[in-house]
Amino acid sequence: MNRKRLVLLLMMLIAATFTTGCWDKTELNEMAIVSAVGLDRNKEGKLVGTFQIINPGNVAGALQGGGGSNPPISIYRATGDNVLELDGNASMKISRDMYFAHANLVVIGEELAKEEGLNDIFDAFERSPEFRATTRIVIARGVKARDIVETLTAIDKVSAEKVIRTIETTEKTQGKSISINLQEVIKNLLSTGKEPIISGFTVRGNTGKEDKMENTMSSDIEANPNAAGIGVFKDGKLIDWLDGDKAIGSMWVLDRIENVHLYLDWEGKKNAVTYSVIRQKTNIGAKIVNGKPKISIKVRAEGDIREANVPLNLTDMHVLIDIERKLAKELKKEMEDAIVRAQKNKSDIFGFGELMHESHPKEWKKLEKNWDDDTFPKLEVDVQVETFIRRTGLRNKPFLSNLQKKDQ
Amino acid sequence: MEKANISGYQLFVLIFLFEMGSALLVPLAGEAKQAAWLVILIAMIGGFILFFIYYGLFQYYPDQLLTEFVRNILGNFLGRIVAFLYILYFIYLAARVLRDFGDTLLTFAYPHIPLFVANAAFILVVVYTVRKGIEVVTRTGELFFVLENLLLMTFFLLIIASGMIHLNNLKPIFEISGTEMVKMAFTKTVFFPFGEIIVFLMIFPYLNEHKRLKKIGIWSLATSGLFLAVIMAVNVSVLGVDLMTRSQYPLLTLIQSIEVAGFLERLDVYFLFLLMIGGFIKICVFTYVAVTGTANVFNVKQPSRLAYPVGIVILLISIIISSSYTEHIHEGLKAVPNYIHLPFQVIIPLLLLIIAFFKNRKKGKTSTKKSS
Amino acid sequence: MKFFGITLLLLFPLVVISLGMDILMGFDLDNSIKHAFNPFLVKDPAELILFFILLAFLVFSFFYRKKKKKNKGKGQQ
Repeated sequence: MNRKRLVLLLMMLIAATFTTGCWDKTELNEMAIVSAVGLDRNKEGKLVGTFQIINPGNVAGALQGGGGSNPPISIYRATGDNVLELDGNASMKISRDMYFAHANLVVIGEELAKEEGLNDIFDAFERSPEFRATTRIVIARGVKARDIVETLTAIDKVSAEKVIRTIETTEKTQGKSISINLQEVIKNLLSTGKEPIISGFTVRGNTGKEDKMENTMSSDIEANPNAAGIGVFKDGKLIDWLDGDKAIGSMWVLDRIENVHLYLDWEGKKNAVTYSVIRQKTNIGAKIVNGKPKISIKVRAEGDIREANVPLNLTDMHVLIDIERKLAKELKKEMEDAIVRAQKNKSDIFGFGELMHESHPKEWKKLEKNWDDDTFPKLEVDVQVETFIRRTGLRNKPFLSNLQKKDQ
Repeated sequence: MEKANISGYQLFVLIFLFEMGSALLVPLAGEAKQAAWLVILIAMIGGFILFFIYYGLFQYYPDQLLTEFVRNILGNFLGRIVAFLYILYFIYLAARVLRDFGDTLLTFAYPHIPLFVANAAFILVVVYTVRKGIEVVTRTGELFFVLENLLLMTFFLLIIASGMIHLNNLKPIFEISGTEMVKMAFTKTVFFPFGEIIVFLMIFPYLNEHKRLKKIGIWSLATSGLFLAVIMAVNVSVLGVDLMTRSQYPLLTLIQSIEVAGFLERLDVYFLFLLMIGGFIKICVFTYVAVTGTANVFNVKQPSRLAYPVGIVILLISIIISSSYTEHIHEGLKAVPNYIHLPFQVIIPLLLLIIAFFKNRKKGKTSTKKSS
Repeated sequence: MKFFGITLLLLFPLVVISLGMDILMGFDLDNSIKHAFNPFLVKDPAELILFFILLAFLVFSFFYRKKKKKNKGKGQQ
């Protein structure tokens, strides 16, 4: 009995040393937490990487004290031929290991996206165990990626957060940006039936000053980062920018709209009636008619009327039906314009090709090769829109309708 | 019929909350502009007349529910059909009130919630209460009565205290002629909310002292009518005619304008309270009578099992009746009073009363013959 | 099963009545049907789930007591 107990005790002690799990430990003060990565191309054709590193002490202090004199982030730059070489070269300047698990944002410079394309840069990001698959991708528009990564902002201490949240909010309330992550971009790059689209971001104002702390110290920020349109890609290269109505129309077709406002002109007055979308659903179907592919899109939206600057009688059902019809017409036009633009660009950003593949695989095999250049630009697309008005807010008639009476 | 007993005070409270329920929400008699409160008082008199018709029917059959004595008066087959029509009427009204409250919640507080979900949450609570029987509904009403009165009194005081009442807004009273006022009162306002007291023909038999019914009925109608008239008068005097006719919810606009002592503002949430209380009781009463009526007409032994299916029917119908709030109000003002309220609240009960009168005369004669 | 019949018997006339009300207001039949059913077309995922849960409860409530009765009957024997 004693021997057995001794052996058991020995085994437990040995097992205990193996279960501590401290093999791969890294202390916090040996890590440099990267929150954003910017990729550019310099004149010699090499990749320039800009890494945004968080200064934890300054972040906390700034939140409590309200504007410390030290910036909450620091920037390190490196050049190289591929992404990991950038990592290695940057470590010559940083005193710590770079830790990418919190890197939420990758900014790609416009020139890099236009000339070389995205195909060469993403492999390291995808393969690395540290990098997240849900990292957001953004294209720097009109500025270099380093300008965006360097920007210091007032409300969000870590400017990567500001960029991400701005894009998400814009997507939700306006539909002019799209919040897309690494996995989706790679999936779309691979698919022959769909091309990726990535939001653009720019810095407006005095672009020399965004990396100075004084930028955050005044209430009217001099160098202001803004969401700016959606970039269209073909074969991995940036070919076009979508702004305003075209961007919104494309998001409607992609079924990614949440709470957008639709404006309606009424009796000559521009944007007199505003309809706020609460819920919508876009259904896309692919058919083969007479040997040719045909896409039919059906959109249904529910919403309220939130602004009426013309004397409309909103208590009458027939007026509401009239408004619904006009809204549907306008939305249909927006979407058709967006589709025509994509067809001109010869880039199938909506995924019609994937839809054909899913529903008619045999025909897709024939169409696949020439889809982007031949078939897609001539594709017949039929758009049907139904808008429903549910409520009109706390008032029925606008007060304008009674104002007019007084004038009479 | 279940075995239940309601006291006089409980019935009074129930009728009061029921009448006030959704009438607080909409601009009642809004087309009469400054004379809206007068129109309500005239309609109240119309309500008394209707109440007397129903009271007459009650006196002939004091222990029977509406769906039961209809069968006695019209014979089994025809009676069942008329009773079935009444059940449909009750469910339709319940669905209308549910839709009203759901839409108000969505407009005011929860814009993104789907209407179906808000209505479903409401109706599920109602179904649970109705399953327990009329006594539970009445006792819940008793509790809420105190709360509602407290809230109304507080509002009244706050409005007076903030000095917003301008009695001049109530003039000129006779911008619309007296005959037009009477016409408006008797073609629209008398049906909603006063005529809806017909549903209580299904609840009167549960009263423990039948003799007091007349008094209780008149008093509760009078009190609720008076309250509604006063609230409407305050609405007009504070907001002015223009704002009152333009707002979907005049009482809400009124409460939003309260600003007393620099900190008592944004009291909108109390409006929600008032709403929920009134709406809850009203929908509970409608659902209860629908369930009991259905159990009666179809010979179901356990009416409480019917509560959930009827509740789901009410929920589905509340979504189907209209596709937007504007359509709902438009229907309620133009089509519903003439085509639905008029037959069920006035024409059929009058006919029933006349037939019952003749039938009981005959009975009286034959029974005296037998006894002598 | 009786309840199922009652529910349907209550539902259909009411749908007809609500369509009738729409027609009385000046819409044609096509439009009325569209107006009646269009809230059911655009649904949130959560709304869809709730809808089906409620309907499932409804169907189960019809068969529930039957099962209980069967078991009781067997138990007594």
